[in-house]
Amino acid sequence: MSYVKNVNPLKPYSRGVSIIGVGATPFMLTMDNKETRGLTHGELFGYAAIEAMRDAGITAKDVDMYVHGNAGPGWQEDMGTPNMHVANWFGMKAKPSVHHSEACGTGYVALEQAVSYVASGAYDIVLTGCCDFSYSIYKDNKHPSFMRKHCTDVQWNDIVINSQAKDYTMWQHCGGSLATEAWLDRYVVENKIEDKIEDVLMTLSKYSRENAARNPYSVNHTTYDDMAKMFKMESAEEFLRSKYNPKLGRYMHASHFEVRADGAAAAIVCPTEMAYKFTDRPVEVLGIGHSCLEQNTPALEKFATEAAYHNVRELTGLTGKDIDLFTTNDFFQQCQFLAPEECEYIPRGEGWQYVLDGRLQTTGDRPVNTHGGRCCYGHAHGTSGMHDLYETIMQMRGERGENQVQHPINYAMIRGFGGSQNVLCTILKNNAKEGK
Amino acid sequence: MLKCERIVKTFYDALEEGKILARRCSECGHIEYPPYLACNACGNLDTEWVELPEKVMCNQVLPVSAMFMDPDFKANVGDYAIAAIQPENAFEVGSVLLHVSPEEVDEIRAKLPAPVKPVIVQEDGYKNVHWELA
Repeated sequence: MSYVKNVNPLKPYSRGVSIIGVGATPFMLTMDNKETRGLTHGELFGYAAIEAMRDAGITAKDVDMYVHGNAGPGWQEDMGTPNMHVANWFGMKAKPSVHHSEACGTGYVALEQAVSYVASGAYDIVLTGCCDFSYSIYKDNKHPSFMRKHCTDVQWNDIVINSQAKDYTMWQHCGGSLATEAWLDRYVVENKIEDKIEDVLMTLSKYSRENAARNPYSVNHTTYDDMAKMFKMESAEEFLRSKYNPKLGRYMHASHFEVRADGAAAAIVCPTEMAYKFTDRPVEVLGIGHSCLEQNTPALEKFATEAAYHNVRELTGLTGKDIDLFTTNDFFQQCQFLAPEECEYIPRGEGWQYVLDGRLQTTGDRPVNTHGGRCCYGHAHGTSGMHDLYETIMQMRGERGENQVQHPINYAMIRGFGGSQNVLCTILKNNAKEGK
Repeated sequence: MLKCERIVKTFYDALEEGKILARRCSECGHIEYPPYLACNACGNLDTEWVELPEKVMCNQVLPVSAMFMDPDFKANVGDYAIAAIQPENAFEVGSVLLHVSPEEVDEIRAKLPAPVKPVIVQEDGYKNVHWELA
């Protein structure tokens, strides 16, 4: 089974496009902290957008148009034309703008949208950003937006189930279970690692949480060793195999699923030929492979990744072997080794061993998700892809502190995925001037 | 003027009469199941109604994730597992395999791929298609 031939080849951009500025708020549980309780969508998007403009050395006057992304404007904020809900917050009055929404794929599509606008020649400087309140949703339509309420797990589960295609898919009663484990199951069977997969997944949980705990932008600042101590256990391993981390499927435990959060992030793009006017550290977008499969396609994430990667590889001539840092959506945590394998960043069939050997860790030779990933760092649905971009750009600049990888990053790949649809493989090139 | 035939309603109406419909591409013969307008294999824009091919294989079986268990559905059909189903000349689709308890999943997985047959089930106000081992 493959859908590669269904996806037409990518063509080169009409002009090169580079990222010249990025900004992000930390991921937060805004409702749970007195300093963040009451923050609104417009404010968070505005803070991220202003930080991105400052990072690029521009003001709102310089921005030609902006792109707004959010995973679920209906259930999070009950917004119509969501780009208009943020416009006045960062100096965009009367400027052209659009909104888009591709569930958890939104943040990756956000970059593709902005790049396409600039590559077309229609605009020179485009701001693209995302904001999601996945943890603290709007209260109701009788109160201002600072009054919010928790989105409970039950509500969230209903949203996931009820947002599937309603012609046939939703009534198959299988979309969620297939999306979570079908790819992993095929991998386990193909590589005959039924007896090893539990160790692999627990190892992944342990060090991903350590990455997140070191990351000031994360919602989690404790490790699983810390959790073990709280429960008077000997080690993270004991905690992760205890009743506090129940098994929810054939392979996955609770620790292998996303941790919902609130947050925003933004980026500024411009023609590559103009980039050095603004920064000594531009990052060029060489190409974005893109493939979408509907939820009723078993192991859709694998097949869409295969097709998206195939296209960006054919366009750029670069393979995963040329990439120095890999960042991926991992709201199912195993994607930290499944996606890099599919994109040839690590050898096929060896990802599980790379996990056990620590080679995908921040200190390893093939680092993946240095921020800690969706299951530990946090997941503000549509915004997480833009946070992946923020993390990647900061790593390329060498500014990730304790989580900084140990080698230079000339090329990076971001593999994005949204809930049962968009998969994007983006290849970035570090164009920093010597010594910057 | 463009005539808009009701594909989804026709599919569900046929289930009421015990028939499972699909669409066949007039160019490459690919089967669209469940039925859609155009061919997702070759891109041809014309498909025609056919009955679902008799040969259908089950390629993958998984237990239902605790996160996505549907208690109302389970109360209606009893034990079930998650399955990847592939009718002949069609793409693989997700569905459920009826009459499979969590304890029986491993035994069935050892036999895959395995032929399956459709079961038309009464749900809340409409009939639906699920599967059982042939």
